[in-house]
Amino acid sequence: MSRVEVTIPAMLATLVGEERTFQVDGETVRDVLHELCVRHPELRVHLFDEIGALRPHVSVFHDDRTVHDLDASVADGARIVVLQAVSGGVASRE
Amino acid sequence: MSSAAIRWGDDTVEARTTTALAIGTMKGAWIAWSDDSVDWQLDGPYLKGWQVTTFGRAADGSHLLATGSSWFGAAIHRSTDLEQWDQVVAGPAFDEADGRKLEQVWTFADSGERLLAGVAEAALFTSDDSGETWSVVAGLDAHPTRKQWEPGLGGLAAHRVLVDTSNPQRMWTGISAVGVFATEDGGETWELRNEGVEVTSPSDGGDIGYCVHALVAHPDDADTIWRQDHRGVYRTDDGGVSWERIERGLPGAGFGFPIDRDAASGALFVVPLESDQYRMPVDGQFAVYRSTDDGDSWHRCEATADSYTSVLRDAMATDCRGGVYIGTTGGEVIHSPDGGDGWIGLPWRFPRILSTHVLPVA
Repeated sequence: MSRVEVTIPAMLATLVGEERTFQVDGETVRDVLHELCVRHPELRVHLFDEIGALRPHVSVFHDDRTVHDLDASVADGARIVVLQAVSGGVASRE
Repeated sequence: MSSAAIRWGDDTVEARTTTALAIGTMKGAWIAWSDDSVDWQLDGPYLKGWQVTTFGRAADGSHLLATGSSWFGAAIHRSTDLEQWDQVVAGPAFDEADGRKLEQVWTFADSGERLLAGVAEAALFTSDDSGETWSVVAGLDAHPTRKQWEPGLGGLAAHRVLVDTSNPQRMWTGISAVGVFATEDGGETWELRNEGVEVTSPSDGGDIGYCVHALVAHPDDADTIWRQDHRGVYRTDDGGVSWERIERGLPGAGFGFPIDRDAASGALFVVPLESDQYRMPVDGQFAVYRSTDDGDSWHRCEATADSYTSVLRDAMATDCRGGVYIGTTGGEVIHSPDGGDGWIGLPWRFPRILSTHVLPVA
């Protein structure tokens, strides 16, 4: 089991008392994110969709590299950063 | 108007003002307060950066707002003091096997017995614990036309719920671009009620394809409902069994999004747009039209030249005392304190306004 540092975007931090950085235990990126969501269940719906997949416009970086496989192992002391992808906008809200 | 107390459940706090206008935008929510409809004070932003798509109130007195985000999805938040908003963890959600995604919470309605939320992808959710937990209204999902429902430009959305306060088993919902559905048995079964309305997108899958934009009911007669539709403005006096077109005096083709009614005067308000193709004020004049005869005729009561802004369907509100509040896509709030006779603008510019609601003041 590794202990890693997880940072979330400011918009999500507003939901969990403005805290942005967490020390979380896990063996994979997925473990770490799920553990974070256990600690702060408000985050789950914002990171994962109805089938448990990472939302398409949420980007995750593991030691400054884009995560393509949530089941990648994490080492003790690793850093995971969750970001809003450079995307978004809305077509219409009429 | 004098200052008053705002009551949340068992807690009563001294309010600063009488009117609390909630403004939901693309980038958060604000609350404007006034005790005389002249001088206003602004609090916010709340949920900064989030789309705030609608507001509501639960039976326990807590206030509700819904957020959305292109990145992070939709959620519901509750507050007992209009300052601290806590996200509901067990909010509306489709089962993994369902295939639908919760794209946006469009509306809340409190039937007196339970709380309802209309969402996109189109469905209704209900809560028996003032919004802590939610379950889907299976009866609407079971409608035989369900697989043929198609979205409008704003998505496939259940965006309005009306409840007969004298018999909460009777409800109506507007779904774009499908039509108006009604239930007489508390949501177990639903039937389409669009007879007399011009269809927008004819379907081979049943008598659907009606792009209802907004609904408002008579507070004392739930069978009288006014409807701003993609195809025009309509009224029913029999609970939606039949509809008649009511556009005398309106410019354009009757196209628009919001419709609301001031309970104090009975006046109705719409904001006509040129057409579904342009979706702009007619002749470049942002204009509010009022009807004082239940929709039989309409007259322009406010106009701003060279203004190309618009109003979304949840961005018109009334306060049951003659106050009418309209939030525009240009981020302005215009307000009539006297049922539409005179209009003033609030002194702020907001992001694109998605919703305006008058919060209950007791």
